[in-house]
Amino acid sequence: MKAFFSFLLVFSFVYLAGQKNVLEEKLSIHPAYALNDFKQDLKELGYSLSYRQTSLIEKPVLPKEKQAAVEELLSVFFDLKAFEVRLRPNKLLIINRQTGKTNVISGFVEDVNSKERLIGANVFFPQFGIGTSSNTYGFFSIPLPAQNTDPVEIKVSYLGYEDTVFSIPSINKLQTFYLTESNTLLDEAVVSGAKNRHLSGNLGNLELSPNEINNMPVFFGEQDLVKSVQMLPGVQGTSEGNIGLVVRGGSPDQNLILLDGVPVYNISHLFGYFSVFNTDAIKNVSLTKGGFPARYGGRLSSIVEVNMKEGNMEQFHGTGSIGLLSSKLTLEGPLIKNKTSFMISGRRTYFDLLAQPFLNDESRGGAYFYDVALKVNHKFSAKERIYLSMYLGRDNIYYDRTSGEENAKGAFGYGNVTGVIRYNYIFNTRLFSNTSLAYTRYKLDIALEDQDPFEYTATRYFSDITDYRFRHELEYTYSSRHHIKTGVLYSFHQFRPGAFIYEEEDANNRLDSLLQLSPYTNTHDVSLYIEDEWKLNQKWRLNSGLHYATYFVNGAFYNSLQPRLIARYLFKPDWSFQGSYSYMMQAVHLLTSSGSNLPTDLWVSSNENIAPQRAHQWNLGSTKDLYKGALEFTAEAYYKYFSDLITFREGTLFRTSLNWENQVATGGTGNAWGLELFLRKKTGKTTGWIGYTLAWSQRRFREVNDGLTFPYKYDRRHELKLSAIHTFSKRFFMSVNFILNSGIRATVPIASYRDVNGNQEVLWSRRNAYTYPTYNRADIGFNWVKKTRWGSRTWNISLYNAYNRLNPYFIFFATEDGRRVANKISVFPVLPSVSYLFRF
Amino acid sequence: MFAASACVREIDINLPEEAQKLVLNCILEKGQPIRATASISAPFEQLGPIPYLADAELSLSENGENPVLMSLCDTTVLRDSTLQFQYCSGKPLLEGQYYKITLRYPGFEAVSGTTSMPYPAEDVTVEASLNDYNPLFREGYGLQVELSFKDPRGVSNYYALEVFEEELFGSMTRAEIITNEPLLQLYGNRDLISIPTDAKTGPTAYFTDEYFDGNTITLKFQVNTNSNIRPDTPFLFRLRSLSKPLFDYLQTNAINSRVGYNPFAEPVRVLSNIEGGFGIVGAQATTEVWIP
Repeated sequence: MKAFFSFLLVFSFVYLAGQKNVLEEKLSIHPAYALNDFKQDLKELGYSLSYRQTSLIEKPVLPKEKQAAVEELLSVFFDLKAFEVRLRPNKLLIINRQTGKTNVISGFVEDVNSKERLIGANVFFPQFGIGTSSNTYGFFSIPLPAQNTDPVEIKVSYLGYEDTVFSIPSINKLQTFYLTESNTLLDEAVVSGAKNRHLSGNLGNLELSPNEINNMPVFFGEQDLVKSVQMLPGVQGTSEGNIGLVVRGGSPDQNLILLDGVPVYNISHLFGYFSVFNTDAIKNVSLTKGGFPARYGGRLSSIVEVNMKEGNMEQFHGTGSIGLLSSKLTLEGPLIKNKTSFMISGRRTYFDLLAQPFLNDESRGGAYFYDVALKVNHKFSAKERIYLSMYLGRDNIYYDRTSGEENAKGAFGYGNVTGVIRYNYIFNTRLFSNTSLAYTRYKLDIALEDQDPFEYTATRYFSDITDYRFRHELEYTYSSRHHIKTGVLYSFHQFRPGAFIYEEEDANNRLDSLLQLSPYTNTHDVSLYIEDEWKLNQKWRLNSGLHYATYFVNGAFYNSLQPRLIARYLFKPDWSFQGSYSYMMQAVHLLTSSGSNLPTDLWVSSNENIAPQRAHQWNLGSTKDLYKGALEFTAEAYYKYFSDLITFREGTLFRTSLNWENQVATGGTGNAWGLELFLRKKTGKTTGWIGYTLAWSQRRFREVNDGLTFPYKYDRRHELKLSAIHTFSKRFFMSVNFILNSGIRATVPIASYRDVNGNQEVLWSRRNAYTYPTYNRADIGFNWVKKTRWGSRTWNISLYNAYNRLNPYFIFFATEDGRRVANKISVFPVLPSVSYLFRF
Repeated sequence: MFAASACVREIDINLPEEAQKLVLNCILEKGQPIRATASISAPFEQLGPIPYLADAELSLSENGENPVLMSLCDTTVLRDSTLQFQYCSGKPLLEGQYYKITLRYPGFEAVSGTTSMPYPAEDVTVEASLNDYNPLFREGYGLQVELSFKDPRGVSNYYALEVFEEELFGSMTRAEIITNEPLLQLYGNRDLISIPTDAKTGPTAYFTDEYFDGNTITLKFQVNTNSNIRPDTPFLFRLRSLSKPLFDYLQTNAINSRVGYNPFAEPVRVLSNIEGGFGIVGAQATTEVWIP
């Protein structure tokens, strides 16, 4: 091995030495020495020559000497004022100076007050008709299409910020562009700067700003990021009030939720009624549901990227709220002004504390959750920056009951811990890098104890999944036409689906213990990607790439080469068409026995018997700006084909994870297709959107439903959503969310019959043959905003399910008064809430 | 808090329509008289016992030969006080042969089911020992069992294993079969093979010979009862070789009964081999072993 590296080193030096010397090589010339002779001599030196006819000098004048250096002869035959020489391995390129040496405008887009870097800001050069958007770290790079020394105009816009035009010198230097927030105190709810979807060219990507999330009606006094995402077309919730996500006919486990780039495996608090994300700590949310660029992988249906605030670099600030259910506080500010900043955010529910006075000493219990997010970042220089993000969240449910000499107590806890260190380095105006090390863990822990004078029993159950991740990414602006992204991701996953411990101590003090541990499953996945954002011309733009994913588990090896393509055609400046194709692989599965996001849902790994899930997705759509950009209309059709899906076998009562492989049917296929219409109003006193989705989603398993195709549980045919904010004055605005959709699917009893033993049994319908009644609900929020000496405060009054529609949570059958009846359980009637928000 | 806000309402829903159909049930067994029952399925909303048909026409044919009419031969009173009318045939049954039973009833399409007679397991032996035997009280906590048998070669076999404990006065109680996951561990020509099966614990274990076709194998498992076991407690081990349709029917029927209306499990549609109706025409060959 050492010899090999030595050889490589020596070879590299020799090779580089050769590269340097070729221009200095002396060639023999004569009076009739011509270009062909020169090419022949170069060939003998091991080089070919590549040039355009226009670069040739019409009448070359040879030097008088009998020998001349290669460099000198190049200037004899070629116009090196307009062209330049580029040295490549075994090749000399004569390149137009205008294309080969353009200036590159690069830098960051930041908030003028907090110096927070803004993700996905539009950067546009009107005079050249070209543009780009800032990356996850607020960085962008774009070469001007022609040599230019004059100042250029650059228009920068961002969701919730004022559009700003800068006139800047056209120089190769990192520059920072500051934007001002447009509606910090509700001048008018203007969603200016929403991502230019003609520029970004990806209709499957949608973004939500913190303002949009925070202005929506709230549920129990809590804004919720995931419920806001559920309002977007193509995205459904699972059950009433739950934060499960079903994207374009996929299942809830097919969504990758990233918090500062780190997967969060369970995004639920309180059995799925709240998500783990504290909206005060959030900077940006982006959902990709189709047209996945090559940098994404690991899930089949969507990528939800949530980025936390970085922290104000200039001043200390805080936001917080006091609600019926919880209170939260977020603080941010500089540790070293304009160098280091922090953001810390915490939230806790207190229903358990408020209930304590009403509980007696013999029976105590409660439930609460908390989460803490911390982010620190330090700017070493304009080129170097490091970020540290951490998240810790946990739910605890407990009881302690005493009756005479008997005591029973239990605790049920679960939560996530994530942490990531990210290091940005900018090599030059064209090359950006990001390197990160991350950790994420989800753990569930249940402990039950029973004691009486004769016996003591203790039961403990726990399961967890832990990931360690390394990621390195490079972004290279090759030319004004090519922007290349490449990277590598390594993840080490450790799965322990379940561990069960039982202890028993009887009157004779004999201790029995039973331990059932599902073995750790350690897996490795390595993925590589490369993508090129290629601007063919003003009309056509392609994002093409390859994602190569590998997965190693228990001696089994899975891999897939996943082509990705997004093509955009700009029909008119305000009207574009787009098509895309993605192929994805997912090696983790969520075992869940209901549609709700329960903490007992278990993540399990593909293994030697259960292959990773795969999906192909095709999209075709168009987007058009109307009324000078005040409205944006998008229509997009999609088709997805899934393979290697798993599902619980019919009749499985999931009680233990120890043998989960025997409880699932494998090798399933699925189809999902539909049409999404989306009309978004971006300016004026009323802003928001209306979305309509017409969709189908089907599954097929050999061992389920007699092998026949059946509708997926969340096969909702129609879905209409409206989300709107109306500003009445600078101090008062109102928000409305409305959902109307077809019901979910279920398997229901349809007949009774005598079985072979003489028992009267129920005959069930085909799988999911019944459609629940139509679901509809409206939520309304009223907000009063006032500027104070110390900042601002907002009173929010919200009505969840404002017209008290009793939507079915689930339907069950019972016998009443001598007849069988169908009953529905509705969980949320009209729910008013009030909360107080402050900002300083 | 959420529970307090929840409410239950009765609603009218339109269930998928399912026409009433004839139900035919019959299990054929060598050496036993052929007994079949006939009934009609009822809409789900309808309550009350479903009656058996006493005036239906049932016929039996062997290997596609001319059918022979079955006659009403016996009546049993079920626990729900329903009279179960049974149709019989004295035709002797042969292993490996095909039998078809057809049910006709006025106003309904005729329905029929076909089955072949399975081969029984051979050389069935059982060895058992008590778990945690306490010599003071002369009792233990369950049985450790090794059950060996030879699987007939060349045909797919489907098995059901049940264990019964004889209690005082000769009554029999089903015992629970507990197995180490993923289920039965086998010794035979192969080393330790696990047989996947759906009935991991419970009164009946269903499994196939997919992994040991034609070989002599030993199943290792544990038997639990509701009470402690004395060394002289009699146990009956019943190993049934089933026809494929009967195996599918019994397995899905057992799961259907177990799951009931549990909202956290996907219901099972019982697999039937009755063309145009419900029920089962199946066949079995039973081998029984007593210990001690």
